[in-house]
Amino acid sequence: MLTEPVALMLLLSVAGVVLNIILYRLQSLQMIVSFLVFAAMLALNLQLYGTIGETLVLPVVVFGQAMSFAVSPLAFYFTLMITSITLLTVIFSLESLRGKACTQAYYLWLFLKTFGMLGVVFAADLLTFFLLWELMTWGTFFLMQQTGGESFSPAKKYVVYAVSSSMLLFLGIALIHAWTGSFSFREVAAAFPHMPEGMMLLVVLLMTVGFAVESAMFPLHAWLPESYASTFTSLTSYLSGISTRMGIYGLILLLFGFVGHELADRFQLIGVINLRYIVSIFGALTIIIPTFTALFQHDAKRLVTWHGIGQGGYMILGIFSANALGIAGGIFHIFNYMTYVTLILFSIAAVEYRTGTSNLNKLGGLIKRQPVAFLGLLFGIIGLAGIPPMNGFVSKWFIYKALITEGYPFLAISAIIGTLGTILSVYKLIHNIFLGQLQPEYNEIKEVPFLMQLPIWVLMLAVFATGVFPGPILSLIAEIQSSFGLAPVPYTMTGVDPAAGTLDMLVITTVFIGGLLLAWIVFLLGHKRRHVSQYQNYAAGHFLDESIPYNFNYNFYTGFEHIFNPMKKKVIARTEVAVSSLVEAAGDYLRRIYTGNLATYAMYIMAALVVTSLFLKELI
Amino acid sequence: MVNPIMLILIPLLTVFLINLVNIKWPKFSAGLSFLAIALTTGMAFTLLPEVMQAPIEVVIAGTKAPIGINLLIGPLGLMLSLIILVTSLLVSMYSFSYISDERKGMYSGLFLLLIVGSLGMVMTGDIFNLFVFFEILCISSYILVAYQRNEHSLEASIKYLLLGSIGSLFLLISIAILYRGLGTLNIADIAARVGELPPSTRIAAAAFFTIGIGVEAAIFPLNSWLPDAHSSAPSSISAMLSGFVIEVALVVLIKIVFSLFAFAALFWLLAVVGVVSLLIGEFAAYRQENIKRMLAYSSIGQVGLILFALSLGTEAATRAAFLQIINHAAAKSALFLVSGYMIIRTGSYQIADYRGIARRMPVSGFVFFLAVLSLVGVPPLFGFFSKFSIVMAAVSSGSTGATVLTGLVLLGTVVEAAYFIRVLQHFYQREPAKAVTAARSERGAGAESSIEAPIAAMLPVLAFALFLTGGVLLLGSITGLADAAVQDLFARLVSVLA
Repeated sequence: MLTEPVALMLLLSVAGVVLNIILYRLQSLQMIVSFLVFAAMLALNLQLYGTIGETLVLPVVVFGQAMSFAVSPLAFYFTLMITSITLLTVIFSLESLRGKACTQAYYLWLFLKTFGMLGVVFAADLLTFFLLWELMTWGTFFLMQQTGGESFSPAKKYVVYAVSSSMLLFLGIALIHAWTGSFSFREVAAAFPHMPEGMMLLVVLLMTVGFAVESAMFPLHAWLPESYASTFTSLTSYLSGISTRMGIYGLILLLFGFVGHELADRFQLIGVINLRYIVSIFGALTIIIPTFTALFQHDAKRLVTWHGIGQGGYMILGIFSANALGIAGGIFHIFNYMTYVTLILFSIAAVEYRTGTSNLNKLGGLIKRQPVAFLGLLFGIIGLAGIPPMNGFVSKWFIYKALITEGYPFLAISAIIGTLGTILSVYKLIHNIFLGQLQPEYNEIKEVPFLMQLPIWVLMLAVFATGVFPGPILSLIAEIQSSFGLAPVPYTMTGVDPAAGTLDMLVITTVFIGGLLLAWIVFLLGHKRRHVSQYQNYAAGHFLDESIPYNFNYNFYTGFEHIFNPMKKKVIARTEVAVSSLVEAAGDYLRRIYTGNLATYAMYIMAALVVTSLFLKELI
Repeated sequence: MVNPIMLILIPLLTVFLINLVNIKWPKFSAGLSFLAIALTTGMAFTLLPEVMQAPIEVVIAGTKAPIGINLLIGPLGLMLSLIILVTSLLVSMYSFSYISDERKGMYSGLFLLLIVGSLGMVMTGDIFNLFVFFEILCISSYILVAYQRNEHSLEASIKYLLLGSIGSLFLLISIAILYRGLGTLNIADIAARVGELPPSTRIAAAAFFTIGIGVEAAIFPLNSWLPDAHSSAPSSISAMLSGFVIEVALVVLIKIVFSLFAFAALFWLLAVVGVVSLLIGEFAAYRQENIKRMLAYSSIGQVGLILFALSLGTEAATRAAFLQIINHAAAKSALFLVSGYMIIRTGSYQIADYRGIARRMPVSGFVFFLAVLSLVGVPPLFGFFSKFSIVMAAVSSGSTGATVLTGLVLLGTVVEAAYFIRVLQHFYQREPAKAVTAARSERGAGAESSIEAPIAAMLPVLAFALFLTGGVLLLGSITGLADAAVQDLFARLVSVLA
């Protein structure tokens, strides 16, 4: 069987869980074993390329249904991301978590979560999908609270959101099964168009909302920032980079795998507004609101996690654009986002590893102390902001182009506004950490060890290389599009075919580098430079020596905050509070049914007898 | 061949034996009761292949139906007997160390009577016998609830006693109505001739029966005694009461409804009441600060779920309900047993006092964790499969009403996850509560040493946990037994009256 790697990969992740339980107290062994297992999984994953399109039926029977897995092009694309990012995370944590307390269960949950994600992506029937989906969300929950105390409350919030989302999916899947009589993706897809319209709409709504929670789509995103930011930074990157995107995977599967474009357009509500358009509007809101919220974060991790939400909006806009270029852009953005956000968070983790903080008010001037982390962050934010020559530019360009050609100017404008906000906030990130004055207490710090640098270098290469040569990744995406019966994107090695809108990243990169060279030459031709210490400085007619701390970083963008603060209504936070107090109040009221008074209880029994008799008498 | 009557006789005779032994050697009573249960459990398992072939009918006192008294053991009865016996076996093992006062003998005797009552209820083929066993079950549980003899448990027991008596009375009235109309007490016989009764009589019998046994089956709003009784009984008894006693009453109710009162309206009423129970139980549990009350309310919720599934009246839903009964028996028993030693160690019932306790009672904490996840329905634990099959069965029954009720069931699951996760996070906090730091076990001293429950108490708890994790591997054979039980139940259903 050619699909043996699938079984082996799943088996290896289970083995990882078991091995980590056995080696519970032996941290170094846990690290080495986990690294080896994840490396093997990546190797197996690469082998899968030749087997795309094959199905594996595991002899595990659940309710008369054998668990089935298939290697679709989409599955291959996602598993490649999952295994590679997990391996990088593990390499990074070899050093960053060494000797830290309370990491005994770290790799265990990492394996469980990876098992869940791989299973969800490989699943070829809804039962397997849901089972592993549940496992995956619980894995996320356990990963989130690795750091103990302060991470518990956001993790609990996540669980409430995630269980609600699972329950919506569950109901949707149960309805699909009741109507189509099958779990298998292929049969469900075939039977889907024959469902009654109302039922179909209900199923689509249930599952869209379910997946929207997991992909942190506005207004269901509120669980994400705190819960991701309060765990280990290496996990923040893993969770933001790939975990949130499983929701997008679900949406792709639902839209292209089951519903299909033509059908999605059938849900006309008012005029041209259909379900697809409404999801896109939420996508646009997902870009704008969280991106501008990111601007006011004073913690580097929180800032980036807010962008994690915002960037999901671009993927939604692309995937729901009904345009070959746009869909390719949306799917490509998942990969790009994963590479640059992991790069950014690894760089932040590298800074945090040495300074012990990710507070943007306390850092600054680290460029010469941690040059690799600086370069990593620089590459990452160029990608995040969607500036050439990094990969983020390519996917965003696809999405803008598709939105404009399909005639959605407002969506395109909101995407561009989002980019503006992104540029502002990533500038804050790099400025407050690496530029400006170095704080005296960080004078002696050094660059991080090689094992932590390695993932940063690898990701820098990836962000740049897939920016200049997006072709290999686009070829995978074209295969995904063909597998769903969509028109494939007309890609070339360095961009897209002139017929679809000229984009040649090689030319752009050459021009870009040429411009940089020009600036360098002008710089060299200028006056002779003199190196001065950072304290040889003045402002407002004052010399700023060591006695006067000069800190631009403190409360960066206060001006913007004055502008935006009146707009912050905290509707979501207030809704959350309202819902939780509603549940508490309901609990209190319902508890009062049990008064403790025996006479009342006896009356309940009598009343029940009367009601039952009357009810039966009326209805029979 | 083992005569099924032995399943009832062995524990019953052991009760007399224990009372004798107790005069001279009170130490042996617990061991004796354990042995009796072990023996009975073994016998029940040997009956399994035979019962799967055909139900066994045992006639007592030499006369056949409709006059004689009989036992009728089909797959349904045997499945429930196995649930009862296995749970009791493990709980009685736990009781060795947990019940350590001088009244051990009384405890062991009543414990066995509780089992006798439950076994009798599920095995009898005679509706008056059903009443007798019901009374045995109720009376022994009233006393066991009061076992700790403190203010709370006495109050709870009195309430339970009075409300339970109303229930028994109603049950008796229902039986009297049936006997007056048909002149027989044999259930199969009544079922064959129940159509002869005038509709209003039949409705009266149905209403009295449902409400009467509903008190013990903890159906809303008849379950008001439950939070007090289950929370103030000794934890081992709470485990029994929550683990199988309510469920036994519930299944007997459904069995009788199936065979005697198959009104479509009654099924709908029970399904709605089940979901209402579930929501009330889960929401009320959300606000509990006392761990045992929280577990008791959670039982109300779970029983609501089981009732909902049972009253859907489809084979798939009934099978799913049986799986859920098994899951609840294992998970809730484990939770009550674990909390028993947490209460002993910290001297508190308040969840707030258990902060950080899992670090000093790692095994208990881990079992609690597994049991909670299984109740919420997290794969790959057993609870996932039972909850999954309930939802699937409910939705595929095809009616809009059932789908809406399923939506409410899923809402209940979210609330359930929220309050259980809160407790779990409390257990795993780094900063221990004062009560946890001050806790000492009978062996060790010092704030860092383990205060884990003794091994004898942990083994049965671990067995429950092992079942919840590994039970999936047995899913095939368990489903097989549940399927046979479903067939057994549906064979009684002649036709549903609209």
